[in-house]
Amino acid sequence: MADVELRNVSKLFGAGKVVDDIDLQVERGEFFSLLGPSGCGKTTTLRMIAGLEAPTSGDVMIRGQRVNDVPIEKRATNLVFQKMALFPHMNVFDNVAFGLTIKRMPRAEIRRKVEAMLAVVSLEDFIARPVTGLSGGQQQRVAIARALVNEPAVLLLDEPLGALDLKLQLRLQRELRQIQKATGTTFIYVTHNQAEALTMSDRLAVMNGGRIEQLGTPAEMYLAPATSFVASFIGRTNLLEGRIASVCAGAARIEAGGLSFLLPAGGATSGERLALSLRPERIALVGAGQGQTQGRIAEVEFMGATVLYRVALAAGPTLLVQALAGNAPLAGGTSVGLDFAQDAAVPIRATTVSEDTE
Amino acid sequence: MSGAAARPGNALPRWMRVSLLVAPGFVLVMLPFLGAMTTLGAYSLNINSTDGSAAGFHVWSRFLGDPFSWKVIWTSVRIAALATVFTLLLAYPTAAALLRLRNPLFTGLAYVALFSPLLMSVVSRSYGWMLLLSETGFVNALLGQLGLGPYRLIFNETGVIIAIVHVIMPYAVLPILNIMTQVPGLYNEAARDLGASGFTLFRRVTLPLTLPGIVVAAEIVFALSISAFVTPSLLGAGRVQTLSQMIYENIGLIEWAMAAVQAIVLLLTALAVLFVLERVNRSTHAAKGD
Repeated sequence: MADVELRNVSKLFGAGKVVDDIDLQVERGEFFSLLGPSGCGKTTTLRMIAGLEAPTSGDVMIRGQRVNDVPIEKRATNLVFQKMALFPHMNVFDNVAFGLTIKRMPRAEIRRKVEAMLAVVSLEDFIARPVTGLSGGQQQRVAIARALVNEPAVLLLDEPLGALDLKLQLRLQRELRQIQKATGTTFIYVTHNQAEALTMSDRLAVMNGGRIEQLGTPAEMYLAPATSFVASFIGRTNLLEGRIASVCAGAARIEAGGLSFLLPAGGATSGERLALSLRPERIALVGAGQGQTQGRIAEVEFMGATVLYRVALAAGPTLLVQALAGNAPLAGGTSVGLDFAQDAAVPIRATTVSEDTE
Repeated sequence: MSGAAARPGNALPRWMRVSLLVAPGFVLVMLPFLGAMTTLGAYSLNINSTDGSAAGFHVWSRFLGDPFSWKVIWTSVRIAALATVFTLLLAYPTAAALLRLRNPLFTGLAYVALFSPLLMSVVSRSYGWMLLLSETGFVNALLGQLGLGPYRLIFNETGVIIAIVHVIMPYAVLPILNIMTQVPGLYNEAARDLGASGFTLFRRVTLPLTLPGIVVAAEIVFALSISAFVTPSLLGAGRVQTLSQMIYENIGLIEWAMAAVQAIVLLLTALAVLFVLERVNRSTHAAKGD
């Protein structure tokens, strides 16, 4: 059974449709992410599940019960906020125990549960500390413990790592994933950070303009983006406008930007126009005069393990090419050949307008 | 990264810059205060006596040995404390309401209403209350319509407290409103998410987080109430004896020494209460861990 289900959910603020007719099912025990740029409606969607916002239309279901009219304090969900929302007038213990004391649980049991939960987030030694003295990462771990100790059906996380530095983000990403596995709680995780969503989620939904662009596993999203928005929002890619030149024995010959690909036709007909996504790491740099096409390196972006080259093709477009850094990255101005497999590109059926191909 | 050297172009050392900033306020407030306190202390010890009596603590012992003095001190503290409590009870929800006003027109009108008592002179305000609260006044007429009363609402402590609360309300609303705007709504959302609602939410989260503002409001309001003079004189009409009125009477009687003793007692009483309130404030900060 789905732990959370959204049925045709929309949310209007004034005249603006922030969430536009969303359908969504999150299964029990799943780590599910809502990914999208700011203003895409992901946080509003989360707040509607939490009960902080009421949907304008549609139904929010938690474990099969319609909860549209259930106030936040009665819902089987708990929230972890982006900003530190720990109660500053309470210490770590009182913060984590807050929800249990509201439920009037016996003292000894509260003590036991809080201690066990603090052990899960590796903060058992901080139980009597004031929360204002904790670091950002520790505070966020207390916030996670404060929510999880109530054993919610669903834990809702609103960009909980957004305010932390990168190193801490990476560590807490792993910890969160471990906590989720250990407790078996359903997590719904809102983020604008595509790398975070890819590494942590079982499944994710990419949102744009209040709608879900695509829903699936991280690998599906990356390898087979349904829309050009998804292709360019998750990772970097080269979006090419192409045309099917010929179809032969179930394979389509596609010409795009002076390049040629051979992809499964899948019912497409000759002359049809379509967009292609060609990932930078699927292109190999080879010596000038070799490979599928020729170009000149226009820009070099050194990223450590890899180097991102912008290669201006003689045939017209500029392609992003990602290569291992090796001993010495190539310099700008170098003439190079580009090589790629005939099936390296992915066709994008539903094309949406994309502002930037990166 | 501290000291003058850290900031290029600042020729003056830090202590001098701070001194210059504090100087005007210090000259205006602290010098007259210190001067007045010295003079009061001297007068209370009968040092520049006009009637030839010796200097010493005999005026002090006369005042402190008289049970009536203690009764007046107690009346003053009681009136100020009750006025403070009622003011806070009114000011807190008022501040909460002001915080929630969305329409700037309503916000403006609310502030005008809130500050209107301060725009009137204390005398006309007090006479206004006498008219409203007298046995044949508006309030008793209204209560009469409901089959209640008439009640004695003036020339007793009730009337004094009502009139004091009226004028000190804005001084209490502002610090409370200020702290309410500083406490993010996030805490509220977090508490509700964890199951708290209604009075539990208020008692466990909202009240403790706004307590520092309440304490500041209480300090201001108590200090203003205990030193109020015109309102208790007019609405008490001699039947409500407070320290400030006794001081005034003794000045009229050229009993300088006694007036000085009472003024010092009034100040010390107010300071003692402020000290206790400040301790409350400290202990709430200590709970926060900073």
